[in-house]
Amino acid sequence: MAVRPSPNQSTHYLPFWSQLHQGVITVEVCSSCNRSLPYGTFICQDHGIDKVESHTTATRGQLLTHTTIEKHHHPLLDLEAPYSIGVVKEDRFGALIYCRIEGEITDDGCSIALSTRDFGDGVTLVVATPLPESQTDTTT
Amino acid sequence: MALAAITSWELSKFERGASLPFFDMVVTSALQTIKKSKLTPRAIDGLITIQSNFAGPAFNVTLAEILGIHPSYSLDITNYGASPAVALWHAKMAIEAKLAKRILIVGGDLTYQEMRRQSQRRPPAIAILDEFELAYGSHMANSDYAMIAQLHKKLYGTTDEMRAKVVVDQRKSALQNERALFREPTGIDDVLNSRIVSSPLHLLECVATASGASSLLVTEISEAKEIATYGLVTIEGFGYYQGGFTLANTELIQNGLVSGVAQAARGALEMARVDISEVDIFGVYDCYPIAVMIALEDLGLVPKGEIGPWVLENDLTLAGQVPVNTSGGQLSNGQIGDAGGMVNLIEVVERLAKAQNFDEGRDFEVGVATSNGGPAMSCESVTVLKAMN
Repeated sequence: MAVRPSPNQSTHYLPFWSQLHQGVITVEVCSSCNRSLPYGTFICQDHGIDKVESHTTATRGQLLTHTTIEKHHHPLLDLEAPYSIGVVKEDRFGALIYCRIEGEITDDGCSIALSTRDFGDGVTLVVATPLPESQTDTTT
Repeated sequence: MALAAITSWELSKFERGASLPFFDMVVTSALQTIKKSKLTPRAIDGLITIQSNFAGPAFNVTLAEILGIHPSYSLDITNYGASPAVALWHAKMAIEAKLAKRILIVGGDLTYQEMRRQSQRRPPAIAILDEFELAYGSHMANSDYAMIAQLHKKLYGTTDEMRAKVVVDQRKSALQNERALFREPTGIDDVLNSRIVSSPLHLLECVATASGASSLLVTEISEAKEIATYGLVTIEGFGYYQGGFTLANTELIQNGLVSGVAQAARGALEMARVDISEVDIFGVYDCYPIAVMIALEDLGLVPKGEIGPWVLENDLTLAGQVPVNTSGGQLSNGQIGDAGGMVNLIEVVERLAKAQNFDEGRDFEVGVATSNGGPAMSCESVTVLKAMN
């Protein structure tokens, strides 16, 4: 029986996945320079590993780019098609987050709300929802 | 006179088990060595890893991603027990060749018992994608290049038709190549009418995987003169740049789509003392037409953002002023895994070599070949080749 692909959780990022399962999106940030580390990276290029801390991201951001997938070779992902995925720059640390997009995309560059969703089989992922223009000036 | 020296080193505690996960152990050792030389990871521009049974293929790419470094020289040495010595020699050569200034050599492994306990489901570099992209339903390279194409469209107005023109010209070149897997005459409408794989990419924009093999022989010049079938081709310049591996970690997504080809090209052209305007023929890694277009911009041939109209106005076949992928490239020949770029390299080598013996219809003296690694223009190289007249 097919199982929906789940993130291959590395030991280092287990806290991230645990938080995500609770509905909280976190990113690792170097407290020396306040820069976020790209997901998959363990250290700050300038300050090493000692000052790296986990912080909650903003719940808003900007869509940088996206693609829509009509068909997927995996049967369970194919059941979800068509769907869109994209990369969002969140507002607090400027972290780039790969995510599933839910809702109509009016424009690459549109403002989005970030949240999480349980996709079943214990898989919780980041979800981006495009915001109507009237809600795009709300601070995070 | 020596041009390189060892400045610091670190051995971690050796254990029968493992008190740290593999990559934490490796990163800790690497950081200690960097720190002992009073440097930060940002200063490291070269990385050589020693093959690891646990890390598997492309340990160097995985480790660079974890360290957050973007080396201009990067290798995984796979000479078994001789690997550390070979790694040291490569570091010396690379520094003497000015390919990098500070090269970190890293090795490590686990006992088989620990390896089973900490087992990865996929090779580590791919495991990073598994963790942060694939569960979202990404098609990996197809989706990443689709988002790159979408961004090029948004930033520079590059249309589907412009990308399709690259495919059309390469298929036209493939008509003259009996080895090509796809030799049908192809028009822009054929590309645009093929199904969308991952928007905005159409099926005919995606390279097809293929089975096959390829090889090249390089010898000393004196010997080469005696045994070469055609004219000699020399390797005059090389440049490499390894950016982020995942799409969300690549610089190009935030820098206006400037890929690592730009940095690699600067190094390679300078090393060869060649200006891009002197290049007669190009073999550009063509997993997708958008990759070709971005590479041509970043080689300095066309200003950033202007490749779309340029492609529509120029003929990329041998009949044009700037021949690109003249045997049809991978888009017509197929992609034989990680060796796919041999198609683009051999295209250039063959034209340069044969131009010295046969009438190619024009005089090819300088050629450039590029290659991409990873799902989002992550590992980029540029090679400058010259016909030895």
